[in-house]
Amino acid sequence: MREVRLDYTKCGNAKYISHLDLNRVFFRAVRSAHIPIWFTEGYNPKPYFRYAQSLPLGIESFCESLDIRLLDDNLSNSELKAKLNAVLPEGIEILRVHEPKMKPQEIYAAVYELRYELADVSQAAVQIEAVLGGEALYVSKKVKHGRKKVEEDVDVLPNVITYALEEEQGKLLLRLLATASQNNTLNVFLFAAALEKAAGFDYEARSITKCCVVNEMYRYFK
Amino acid sequence: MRSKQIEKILPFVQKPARYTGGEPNSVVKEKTQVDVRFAFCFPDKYEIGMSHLGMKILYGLLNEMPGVWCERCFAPDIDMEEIMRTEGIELFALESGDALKDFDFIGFTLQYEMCYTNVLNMLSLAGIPLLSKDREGLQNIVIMGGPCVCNPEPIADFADVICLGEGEELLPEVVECYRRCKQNGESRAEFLRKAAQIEGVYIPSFYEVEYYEDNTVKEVIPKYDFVPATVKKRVVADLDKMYFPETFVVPFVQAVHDRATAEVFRGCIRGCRFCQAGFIYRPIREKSSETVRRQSNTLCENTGYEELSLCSLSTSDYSDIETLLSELIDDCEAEKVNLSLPSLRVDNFSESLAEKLAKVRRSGLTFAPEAGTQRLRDAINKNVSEEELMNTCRKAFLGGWTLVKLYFMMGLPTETEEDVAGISALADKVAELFYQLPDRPKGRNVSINVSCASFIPKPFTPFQWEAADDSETLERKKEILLSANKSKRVSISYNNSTDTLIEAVLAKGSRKLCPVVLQAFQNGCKFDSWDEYFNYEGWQKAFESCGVDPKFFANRKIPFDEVLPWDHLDYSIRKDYLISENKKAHESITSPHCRQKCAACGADKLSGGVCHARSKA
Repeated sequence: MREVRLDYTKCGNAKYISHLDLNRVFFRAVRSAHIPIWFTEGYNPKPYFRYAQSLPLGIESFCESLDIRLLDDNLSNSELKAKLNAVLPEGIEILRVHEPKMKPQEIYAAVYELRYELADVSQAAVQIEAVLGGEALYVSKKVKHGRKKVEEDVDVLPNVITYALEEEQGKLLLRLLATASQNNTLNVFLFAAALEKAAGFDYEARSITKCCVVNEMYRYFK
Repeated sequence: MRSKQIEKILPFVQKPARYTGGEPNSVVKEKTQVDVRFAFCFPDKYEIGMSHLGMKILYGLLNEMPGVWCERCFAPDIDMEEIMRTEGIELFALESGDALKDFDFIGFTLQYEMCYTNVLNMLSLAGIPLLSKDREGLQNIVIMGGPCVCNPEPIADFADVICLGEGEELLPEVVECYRRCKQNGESRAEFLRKAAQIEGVYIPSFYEVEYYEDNTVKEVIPKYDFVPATVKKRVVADLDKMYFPETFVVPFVQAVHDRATAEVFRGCIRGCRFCQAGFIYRPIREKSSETVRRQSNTLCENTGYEELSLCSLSTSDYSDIETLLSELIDDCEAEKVNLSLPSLRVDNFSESLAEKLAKVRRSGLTFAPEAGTQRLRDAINKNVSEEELMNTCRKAFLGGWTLVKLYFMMGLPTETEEDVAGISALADKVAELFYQLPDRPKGRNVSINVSCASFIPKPFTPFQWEAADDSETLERKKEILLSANKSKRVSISYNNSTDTLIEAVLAKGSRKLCPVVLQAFQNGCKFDSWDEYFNYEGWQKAFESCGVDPKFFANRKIPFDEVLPWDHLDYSIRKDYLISENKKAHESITSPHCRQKCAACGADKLSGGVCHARSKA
């Protein structure tokens, strides 16, 4: 038995698959591809699937990771990749199969790209600059107080490590490096909604893409 | 590709993967290679519709036809609909994201009467005229099928084409007919005229209904000489040769029944007098166990599903059940697939199969005695005795089960207060049985969940002439039921008397109901089968404003010689047979099931004499 890490994308339609549903997608893909995997050994055996992080619904990603345990030692990484890609739905593609080097807990930050199609790109850029260069940007978030969950306004600007704005083929591109560690992660979806509201612009289309995740030394998560 | 408009709203709705398509095994075709586009609509939420086997069969079948592209569409959930309406987004099909308006066929499957307002809501969201007479051009043909179209009169004004019976052979014929009309540049009217020649096709607008002054039907008259006076339902004679999909669309969002399903047979030998499915799906036609096994294994292989279930009206009655189960249990064990089985009558099984069956994990025990006393069970011809129920429960308790679900009906014809109290008494007896067993599961309590549905008389059953209990009677019976319940281990649930009334009206209604359904929809009724959305007031107002008395349809006993609104539709069940079954019910006389004695119901006329209740007895 060996543990492998699958680096995969979650793009296009697949960005609307919830994390819970994604688990079933992978399980069925593994079954259809006849890949023998290790199951947990409880009363209800479940496939051993460990995700590095869970991705909020509606966000595309090129840097998702899932660890599984293979029972077939003769199955090569490239074979595994080809077999799974043949059965996975469009938008989910295994990019690499490799031995896990880092623990998911080591993830510190992530790079996001927010692309906006809107009428006045340069004006929106100015408005965004004003918000991100400001004092604070509050989002309403469910926070745990002991056992209770309460709604609380949280400032998310401290989560933004750095950002850059540019025009790209008529679209406004906001690049964002933000914290993504287990205890201090930026919900980029809530962030975007708060930003749009504070900056006061509407858009025709928007996409949010998670491009890569890094550890505290800014090395790619492997 | 989906429009930017749709893309923009998806992040803001619950479970957006219900609206995106792209699920494994969904079919996307090149539009330029397609000349007939079919939108298969299920008038309920995605999670419900994606559980439906019939849709999977017809989706696969239509997409196998070159040049035909069948896509799926479901009723958007409340939050999605709200955003769609404010943003002006029209209802679209999942695979292409194209508006329903762009489609040749808008197909609806009517699985239950309480979905009718959803049909109208979906048409309205699609921007398609609700009434057949307002639709123009050779496009947007609204075609309907499913069990409810055995009485399609309450929705007759909304449908262009209605398909009676099984669609496997019928639907491709209708589609081909349409394709030829389209190629020849023919009109909508010409297409309908040609479609009416196909056996099983009912074009409501080609018939005129005449009424007596008391609102009963006098006569249904074909308007033209080229349409048949009665329309026969279609059946497939040989299920082994019939199309069955090799794969299912596997949803991302969990459906209610999210598993591979293999169909075992159609029809039912039991002849329970209340059960519409038991009559309208006749004659009995079985698949061979080889076919079922092959189709099961292919499905599991192609979908990756970890669970397989068998589908029929009464799987225990399959003539080759021993072989089938024995083989499937082995197959499933080898492939780590859970075989989900109904509660089977295990008494006659061989020891080796019983042993194998014991290893198959089952979630709960469900029985449907349907009535509380033997007298009433005899009247409805439900051949379950108290002894059988107790025996099965005893075995189950000894096997470690502590949860039993019992299904009953209330308001059955000939029902007395004693019968109603008998429901509670029977449930109490099952609970008592548990505590009397010295070897019962230690330290655990038993739970008996009694689910009591109101009886609703349905067309093409021996009870089609009967009245449903009115709300007051049902409420009184509920009181009796609850006060008769003595055991704390028994919990009783039942459905609302108000939705019973609406379902009863829609089941047996005539065309006089079309304006009511339309008005109810306009009053905001939708998702009527969902307790949380059911809007009784909307329906009440609709009846009032249309001057229609719901009790006339729901709570009136119909004499045998009255013309029924569905009498011009032929489901090949002899009326005199239904009448004799009705009379026997009132004398509490049972009828033997079809394998014991053929009742010559007439259903085999449609299948060229095939009825496996006789040939495979």
